[in-house]
Parts: sequence; structure tokens; C-alpha cells
Amino acid sequence: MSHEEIARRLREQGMAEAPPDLRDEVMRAVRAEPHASASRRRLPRPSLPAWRPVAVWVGVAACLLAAGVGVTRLGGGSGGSASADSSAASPLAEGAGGVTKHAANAPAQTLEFQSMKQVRAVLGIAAFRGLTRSPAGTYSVPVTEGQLNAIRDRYSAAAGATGSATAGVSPGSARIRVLLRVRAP
Amino acid sequence: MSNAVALPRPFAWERTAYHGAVRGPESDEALARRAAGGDTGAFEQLVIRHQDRLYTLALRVTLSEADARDCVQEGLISAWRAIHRFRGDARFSTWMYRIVIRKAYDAIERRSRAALPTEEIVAVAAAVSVDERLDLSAALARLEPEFRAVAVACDVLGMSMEEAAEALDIPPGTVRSRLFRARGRLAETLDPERTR
Repeated sequence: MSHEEIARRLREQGMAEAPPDLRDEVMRAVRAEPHASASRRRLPRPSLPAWRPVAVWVGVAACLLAAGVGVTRLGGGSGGSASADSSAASPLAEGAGGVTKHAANAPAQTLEFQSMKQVRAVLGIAAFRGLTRSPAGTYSVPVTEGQLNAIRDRYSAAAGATGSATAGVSPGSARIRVLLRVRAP
Repeated sequence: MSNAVALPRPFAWERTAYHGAVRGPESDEALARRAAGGDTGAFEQLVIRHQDRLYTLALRVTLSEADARDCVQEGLISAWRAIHRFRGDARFSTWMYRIVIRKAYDAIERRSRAALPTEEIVAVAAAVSVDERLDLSAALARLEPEFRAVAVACDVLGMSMEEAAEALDIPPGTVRSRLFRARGRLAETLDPERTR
């Protein structure tokens, strides 16, 4: 018997009829869960609320603005952080925690700190731009001449206001010595 | 006076109405889209169109009327639940065959795991074939389910190799080789003397 003959017999004799009540049973079950497919399609899809893209842009703009304000304050030299600086826990000793000025004649200066705590206390959060850490464990932050003068003025003012002994703040000096005292409770 | 015979108006209307009513049957895909929108009537049309072919596939593969009925019933209900996911990439019939064939294979596996008398079913069918040698169903029953599925898809349901491959979820080359072997073994069963 050839394959063609087999195929022909299968074609002629192979079909079967579904039971007559199959359709009714299926449709009864289908109608028992009405609009199942449609209701599933209408399920609320997790989508971004309409305000979210706006909020993202507002957030980005706020971050940029905050960064800009920080840089401006660092350059402008408001004394906002002076009192906070004076509440730092450990006094900065010359050599160990002093703010060192390198290459005084260059337009961009580099300040060196012993710890991140000092960086935050003296420069605030805006100083983290350009911050590098040396293998010796010190931190270097590039500042402009204006920023450097602002820091110097701020600490002079803080020293005058608190009456604490702050020495070494001398214009043109290659080294700025900042002595912070723990504020009495 | 003209000799022309005017058609009676009712007849003309009928013709007009007839031509107006001639529309091709709605395609499976169009019905499926309506069904996806919750139209149970459209889904019923699909059931009517395909139930016999789906039942044939399930019956020839499972060799059991009860299992075939369950496979088709469960397959159609599953299709209704998932019809919104049918995107029309494949033909609706192919999609349905794929659902039902999976159910059929599951039924066979379940039966074998539960130690239900699969062998008995096949043995009875085989015994009939030995006696009559013309029983096509019994000859099919002596094939493995995968071979039966290919033979039924291509020869009984008239699918092309590509359609069968898609419906059975196997490569077209596998369809071709299984079909060749299935036909050869059916020929041996149905006409052993001439085949030798």
C-alpha cells in the first residue's frame, strides 16, 4: 500500500464528529464567565500617573538649582556654615587638620583636608565637585581664589564673633590655620 | 409595443436583496477580534467551525472519546479566557490546534502516570486491526502519539507541512520525517503482505 493510498484513506476515513452537546457545554461555561477576556483587558494597567514626568523634571531642575546655589554660596562666602563649623567635635590642629593652600598664584587653588568631616565643615556639600582622595588618605578640593578668600573671611568673622582664639588667618599666607573649638553646651 | 418582458418586482427585489446579502463568511480572525471584545456569539461561531476538526485531532491522538471531549472542551474554554492575547500572528485554527494538542499530550501523560489502562485501549484497538486489517483507527492507535498527531494533522485535517509544524510546535523537518514514518507503519499495519 503506497503512502498516497494511506493519505487518501486517512483523508476519507479519519474525520470524526464532535459530540452534539459539546458546543452547548462549552458555551455554557463561556457564558458563566461573561466578558472574561474583555474585563481582563480593562484591568487597570500599571501606568505612570500624568504628573510623574513633570515631577521628574522638577526634581532634576531642583537638583541643578541646589548645586548652583551651593557653588554660588561657596564663591560668595556667606557665613552660614561658620557656626556649624565651630561646633565640630574635634579641633583642627595645624598640620593634622589645617587647610593648606598650594600654588597660591595659580587661578585655581587646591585645599587639602585630613577627613571628609573637615571638607563638609569648611566647604559644605558643594565642595564635593572635583574632590579627590590621595593614597595617603587626605582629600584635595580645587577652589578659586574668590572661594579661598571667602573661607578666610568666614573664619575670621567666626573667630571675632565667638571670641575664640583663631590664629593663622593671614591674607597671602600659604597656609591657613583654622582652629575650631567645641562650643560649650 | 415592446416585447420585452419586465421582471416582476418581487423577483427584482429578491435579486437586489440577494446581491446585497452576499458577503463572504467572516474570517476566523475577525470573529476572534469580536470574541476578544466579549462577543460570545462570535466565539460560538468559531466553536461551530472548528469543533469537529479539533475533536478529530484530540480523538486520534488520545484514542479516547472521553479524553478527546475533555481536551476540546478545556481547550476551547482556555481559548476564550486567553483570546485577548490572540494577536493574529498565526491563524486562529493553528492557535486552537496548538492548545488542544497540548491538552491531548497532557491527557496521555496523566493517564500513563495514573496507570490508567492505556495499554488496554491500544491492545483492544490492535486486536481489532489484526482481525479486520482495515480498521484505520486501530492502525493509527499502534503509532506513538507524536506520529499520530502528524498523520492526523497532515492527512486527515489536510494541513501543509508548515501549518502542521506550527500547530504541533515542532520543526517542519520533523513533521516531514514523522509523516513519512507514520505512513510507512500504517501501510505495514493495514496491508502487511503487500508492504513486504
